[in-house]
Amino acid sequence: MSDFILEIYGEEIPSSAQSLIENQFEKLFCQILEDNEIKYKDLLTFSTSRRVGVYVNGLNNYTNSKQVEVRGPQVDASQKAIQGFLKSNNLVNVKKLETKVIKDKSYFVFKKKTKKKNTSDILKIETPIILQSIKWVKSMRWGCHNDRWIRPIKNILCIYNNKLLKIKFAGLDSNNFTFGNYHFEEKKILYSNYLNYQEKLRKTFVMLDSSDRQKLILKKIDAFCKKNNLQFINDSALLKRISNSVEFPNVYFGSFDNKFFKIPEFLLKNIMSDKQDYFIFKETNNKLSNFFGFVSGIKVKKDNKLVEGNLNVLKARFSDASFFIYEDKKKGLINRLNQLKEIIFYEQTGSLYDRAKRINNVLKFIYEKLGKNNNQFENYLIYSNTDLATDLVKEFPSLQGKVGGFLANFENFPKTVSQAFSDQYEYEFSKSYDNFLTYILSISQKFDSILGYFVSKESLTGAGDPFGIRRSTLSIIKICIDKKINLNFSELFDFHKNLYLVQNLNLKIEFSFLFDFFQKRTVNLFKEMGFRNDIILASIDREFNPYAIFIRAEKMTELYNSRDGKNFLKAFKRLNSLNEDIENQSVEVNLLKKEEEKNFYNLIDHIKKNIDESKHDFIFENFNYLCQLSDTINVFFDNVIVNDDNLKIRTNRKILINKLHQVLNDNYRFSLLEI
Amino acid sequence: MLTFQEIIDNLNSFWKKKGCIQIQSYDMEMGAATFHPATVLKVIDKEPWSAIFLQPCRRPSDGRYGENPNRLQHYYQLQILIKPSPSDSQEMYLESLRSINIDKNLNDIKFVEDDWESPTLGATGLGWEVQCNGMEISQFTYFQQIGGIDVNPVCLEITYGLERIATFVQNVDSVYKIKVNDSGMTYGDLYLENEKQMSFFNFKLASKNHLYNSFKYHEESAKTLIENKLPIPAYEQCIKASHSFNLLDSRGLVSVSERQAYILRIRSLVQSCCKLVKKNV
Repeated sequence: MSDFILEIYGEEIPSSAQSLIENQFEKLFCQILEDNEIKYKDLLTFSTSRRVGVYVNGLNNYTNSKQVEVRGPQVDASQKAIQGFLKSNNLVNVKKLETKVIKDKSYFVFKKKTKKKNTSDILKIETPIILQSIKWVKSMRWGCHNDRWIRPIKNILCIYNNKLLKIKFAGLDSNNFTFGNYHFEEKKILYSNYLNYQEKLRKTFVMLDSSDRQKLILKKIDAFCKKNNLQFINDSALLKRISNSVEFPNVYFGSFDNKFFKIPEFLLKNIMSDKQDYFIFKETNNKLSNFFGFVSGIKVKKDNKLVEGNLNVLKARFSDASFFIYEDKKKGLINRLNQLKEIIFYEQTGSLYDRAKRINNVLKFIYEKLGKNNNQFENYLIYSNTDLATDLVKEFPSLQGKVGGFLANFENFPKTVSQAFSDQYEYEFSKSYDNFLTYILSISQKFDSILGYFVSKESLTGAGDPFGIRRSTLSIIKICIDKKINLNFSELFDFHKNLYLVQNLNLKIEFSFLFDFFQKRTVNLFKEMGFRNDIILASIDREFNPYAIFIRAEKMTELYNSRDGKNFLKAFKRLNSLNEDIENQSVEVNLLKKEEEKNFYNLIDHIKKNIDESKHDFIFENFNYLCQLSDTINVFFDNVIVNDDNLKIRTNRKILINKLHQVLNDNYRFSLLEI
Repeated sequence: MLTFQEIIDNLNSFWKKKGCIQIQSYDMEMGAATFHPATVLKVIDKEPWSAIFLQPCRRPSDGRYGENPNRLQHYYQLQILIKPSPSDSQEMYLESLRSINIDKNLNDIKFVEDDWESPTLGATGLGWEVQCNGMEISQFTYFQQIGGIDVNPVCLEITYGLERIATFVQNVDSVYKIKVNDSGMTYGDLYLENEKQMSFFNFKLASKNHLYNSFKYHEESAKTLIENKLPIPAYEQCIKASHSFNLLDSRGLVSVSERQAYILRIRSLVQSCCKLVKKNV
């Protein structure tokens, strides 16, 4: 048994790329080992800010020899083709070949034993290929060669069975040494074995495992919080990013002057966490603390210089924010409305002012549809996106909304309105969050963004979501479901399309296009919620009302899982299999001879009547009725011969089946269920 | 303690010893040292190139009337270019910091991911912003493209933000307190009034009509010069157009969509200049 290690050491690797390389190393090396049927015990990957690697142990030194079958030309192929096949397998004549029939054609096959291969030889060939085949989001060249990596590579450690495995990549030959943490040790570290490698690196302050680094940071933070009676505001993405920015985390803490608390808390948080990558804390009264923490790659006895330096940067950033706040407060939201006329939303979709007007109208429409009114807020809502013209949002784009809320509050808008401005861009809302205006503003502006995008671009290709359109769609669906908002999007689309028309803007897409786009997102979201694919598809109606779809999917699942429901679906399956498309014909009542037929006919009538009274879900609500339904269908098929000798009766029965099928399937799409 | 001018001297002498030729500032307003023709027009050919120069930069919308401790509308960048990028780029950079009393073992030098791009120049590069105890002091970039053309061999660009570095080295909390020389002259003595007055000009008084017209004029001139296959003067007109655009921006006269359109107009001209240069070599 042997082991293998590959470590690529180089200049600082961005955090996101570390996970990307680790994942692909794992996938690609596993693939190579499996393809060559090389047994191994464990395969693990590791990364720090300066290195990424893979380690495999318990490796078989050889591949097993095995019999393989090589397919040759057809037996009646030309002599030239047959000779070519013989030559390529070092054979003189066809005596050693066998014949095999594949899809009615007879082929020559050659059964041969593969040679044993050294695992080290395979890894030597495949490792550079793997390095070249990493699928990057971004990668670069450096120097004069054309190989790509995330940042320049300085050394390749490649060892098989504790001996150097010679490979070449990016103009470098592999070595049997690596380097420690360059803040502490610049000498080469010779590789002898994996345990020794880990130990030596640890001594020069390299922690190979990202989760170990995170644990160490959390331990230090925990001690600091206990000492100062604080609560850590944990942000797992930030913690991961920070722990990946070093080879060994040294945590330091500082505090800023209380005078900066005149800056709103959301801005202080944004500057510290997002701009400066600092850890932040809460006081026991839930207010933001003036303490902050940061991680450094170096370890110093006196941290004054480090803390002071970081504090100076923070002060300058806060001072800049104060400048913007001062300027923005001076001008205010109301006075900026005209500025929106100069800012184009998307190409061909008018200005942000046009958008503000559309959102305002849509809001009103939704309120009315839901039987409510927004009169008390009407005068304020035109300012919902005016913050996009402020200096603060230009400097801190991720704070759109929050800035609007802050300025609305400053200008004494009602609390409900300023909160809605502030939270409108949130993806979803917690159970305890309660502001109906926020939900409707959020849906309205996101829906306008989606339509605006499709007016400008017409399609959304690729896996990414640069304009956040996919995310906005999911958000709308989620809000409607979570907050029980019964909204019909086909109606909303028609209304919205008209708003564009009034503004002389040409919304070229039809609802069917948007329906497909919404449907895809719905299917994915509902699958994540645990719904079956067929149930989701059966629940989606053309009106596209996300909340109604959700309720239908829940009821359909309940039906699908119940005994009565299963019986009904079996009965429906019988109906479905005998259904034929018969257009525009009515059942002739006087031709209904048997009692079972008459009951069957009455059933159709009853279901129709309920649906006409908008009681669409009545069949889910009463399982006794469902049993009656199943019985009537089953009794009909058990006792009535559809293919009666009399043509009129036969046709009438087919129409009868078709009518029941139609009323059930048009409204409940049971035929989409896998029964 | 090193003065502002000693910091410049030390870095100059460090990189000259490493083989960089010292060239001089360009006599035009530009937003970043990258706009210097010694960068844009020299990195696209295959010839080796090592240079150092000091470039005054102007970013009109960064003016704060002299009230912000480290944000300026006029400041200095020291720029290093080395093509092909050497294998010990980072070591050399850290060594250069030692020449201005910044020791990597005593200070937290962080290479923070920053994939640089200049939409106006059609330029992209991968690298880092270098922070010293949390403050950005340099930009460290491996040029991948300029004027939309692949840079091959790859060129290393290091840009030192001199004012920020000086505040750090001298341990002062405002750029205006930086000592420029040993006789006590400060950066504030030299430039504070300039910042105040220029901020008024940039934000409030730069003539709207003149800026629109000058942008058009420089754009037209660049086109004519490109037609006449004169990329060097054509590129100068791009620099001038870019500055007119920056002033329009600081005057708040450019909407988001127009902004993109202006950038694309300059970018396409720069691209034509680069193509002409590449063709000529």
